[in-house]
Amino acid sequence: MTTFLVNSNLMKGHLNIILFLGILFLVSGCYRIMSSDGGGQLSYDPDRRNIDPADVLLPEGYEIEVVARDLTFPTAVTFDEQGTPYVIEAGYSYGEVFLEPKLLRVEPDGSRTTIFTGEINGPWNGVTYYNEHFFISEGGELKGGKILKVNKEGEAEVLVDGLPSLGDHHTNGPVIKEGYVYFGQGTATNSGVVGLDNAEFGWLYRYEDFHDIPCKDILVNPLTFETENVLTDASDDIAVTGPFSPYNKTVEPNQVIEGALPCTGAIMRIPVDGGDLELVAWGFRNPYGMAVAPDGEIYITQNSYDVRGSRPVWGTGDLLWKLEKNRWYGWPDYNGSHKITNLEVPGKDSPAPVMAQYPEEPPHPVATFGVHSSSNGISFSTNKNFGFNGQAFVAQFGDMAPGVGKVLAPVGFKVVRVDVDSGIVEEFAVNKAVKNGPATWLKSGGLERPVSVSFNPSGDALYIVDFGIMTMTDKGPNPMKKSGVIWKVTKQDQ
Amino acid sequence: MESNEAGSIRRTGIIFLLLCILFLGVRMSSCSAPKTAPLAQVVEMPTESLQQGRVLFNEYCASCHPGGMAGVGLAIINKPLPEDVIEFQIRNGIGVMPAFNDKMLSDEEVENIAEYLVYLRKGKKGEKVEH
Ligand code: HEC
Repeated sequence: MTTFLVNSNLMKGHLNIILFLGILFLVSGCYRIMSSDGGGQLSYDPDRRNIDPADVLLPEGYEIEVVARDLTFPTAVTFDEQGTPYVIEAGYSYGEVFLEPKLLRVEPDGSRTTIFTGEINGPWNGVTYYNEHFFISEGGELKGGKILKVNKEGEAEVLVDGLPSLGDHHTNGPVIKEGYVYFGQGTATNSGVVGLDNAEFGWLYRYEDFHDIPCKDILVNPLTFETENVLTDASDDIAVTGPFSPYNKTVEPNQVIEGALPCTGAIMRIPVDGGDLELVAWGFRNPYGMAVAPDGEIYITQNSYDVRGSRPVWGTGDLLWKLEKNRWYGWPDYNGSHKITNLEVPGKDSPAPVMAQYPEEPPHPVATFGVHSSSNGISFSTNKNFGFNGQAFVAQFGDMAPGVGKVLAPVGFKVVRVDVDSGIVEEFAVNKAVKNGPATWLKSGGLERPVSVSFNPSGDALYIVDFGIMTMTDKGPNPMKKSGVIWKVTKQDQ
Repeated sequence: MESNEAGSIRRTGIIFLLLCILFLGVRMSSCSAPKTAPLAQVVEMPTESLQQGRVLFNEYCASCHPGGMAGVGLAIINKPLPEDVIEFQIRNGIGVMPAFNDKMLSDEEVENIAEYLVYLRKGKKGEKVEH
């Protein structure tokens, strides 16, 4: 305290900092006791969805309308040559709801005509129309992922199946480029280790041996993670699990895990008429959204790590990547250019590195989004009249806190746009309210969980696919059927 | 002399505590800045340092403080945090926030981020770019 007084002149100069330290002293440890306030953490049980375009805030000059409502888990729209929209209903949602996935034509009055019904093996996470066919990414939570090719008569062909989609993340995309269907395959786990979080998802009980598969040979560290053994009845039974291994199996020192194709955490491709599967790039976590930019490059959104399971990772923002062939993108030890092994989880240590050698330094991401924002579907503006020509529009599904980790306020639940040259992210469509959050959280009729965006072929309208209500309960995610919406944004003075 | 100093210490201490509590209130007060409509066109910052601050903020900070508001981290543009406090926080990462050393961000870059955040807090959004 004496030093405090003696240095009073100096103190004045640094008053701000000293005050700041004082405050932090008072609230030290405070962050850890602050509770999570995610957008799905409601204090009431919404029994239905309110829809009111007037509750959505857009830039001046833009308007929003409802194209279709009462959809069950819609995930994406695409358009045929005439500009008619088609939507897919996923047929699976986190929360272990299994239904038939569907490809539906959206009629001008908002009603739907079924084109094709899939088998119970969702989630269908993406669709794109090309050369009179619909290309669909079938998530494959029950039987493994597939790429389907469906014509307008509803006749389907399987271009590839058996994709390693039985875990946390699924088969995503697809986009068409130069005669190939490019698609994403998410990882089995959060950060390379099967654990109790995967039991909570449900799949560990279905496929006890399922785990991540690298695309190329990797040398891993012999890390071990202990959990209760949920696959036996004995209460004191312990499971010890290593990286890239089945639950309750470990790796030896200097063990090389063999690469394989198909693999998890990768972008792969296959010719549009069928043929051999090829690896394009690897080391992604969950490469969810894909789009071809006006310059022909493919861009990918990645859902980054969660604070869950045996190897929790804190504070990693979702990413926008430009696809570069044959490169390694950093999972499970990096997020973007940053090593996650330097990032402490509050109250815990930082995660130990899984890989003993890295193929290369990962590329630099194009942009970074909010941690847990679930930045998903992506589409590029190509029409000067709509505005923001050349920018990427991204739908943010919004956080699934506290399951994925703690947030102090809802993150996501909106549509943002990205300048891919500078990485600057700006809001485009948000809910009107002082705070940010989904419509149910704000008790309004605006956006709930935007999961994808697609410009129509003429580029003068942006369609937003809104998955609908998904609350987070003690028992995990609770998605509501028939609460999905397709919104359409146009510019008025074009 | 002795007692005077003690009294002064006590007074300073009390004022300090009061100020802390005041700041704490500001710190804990939730996002109350009214939301304005998203930008209708591409904007640029009026100076190069602000533009660099904006790019760096997007790359290094926005993931935990999306748009300067709360997310995984606390809201930072809804309260009168002075530039030097922001700079101190970036370098030292008080609390659970990671610190950014001079290998990651230079002094000038840290200053530009702080300047940009204060600019944002004042409700400014940049200037329209003519195409
Ligand atoms: C990995 C997440 C993360 C990143 C990245 C991050 N912060 Fe933080 N920030 C936090 C957390 C969490 C807190 C609260 C710390 C605590 O109280 O323990 C915080 C606190 C702060 C505070 C103090 C706020 C207050 O009210 O006292 C400021 C200022 C700040 N951050 C600025 C920044 C800037 C500028 C950057 C970019 C250079 C940045 N942060 C990057 C997570 C992050």
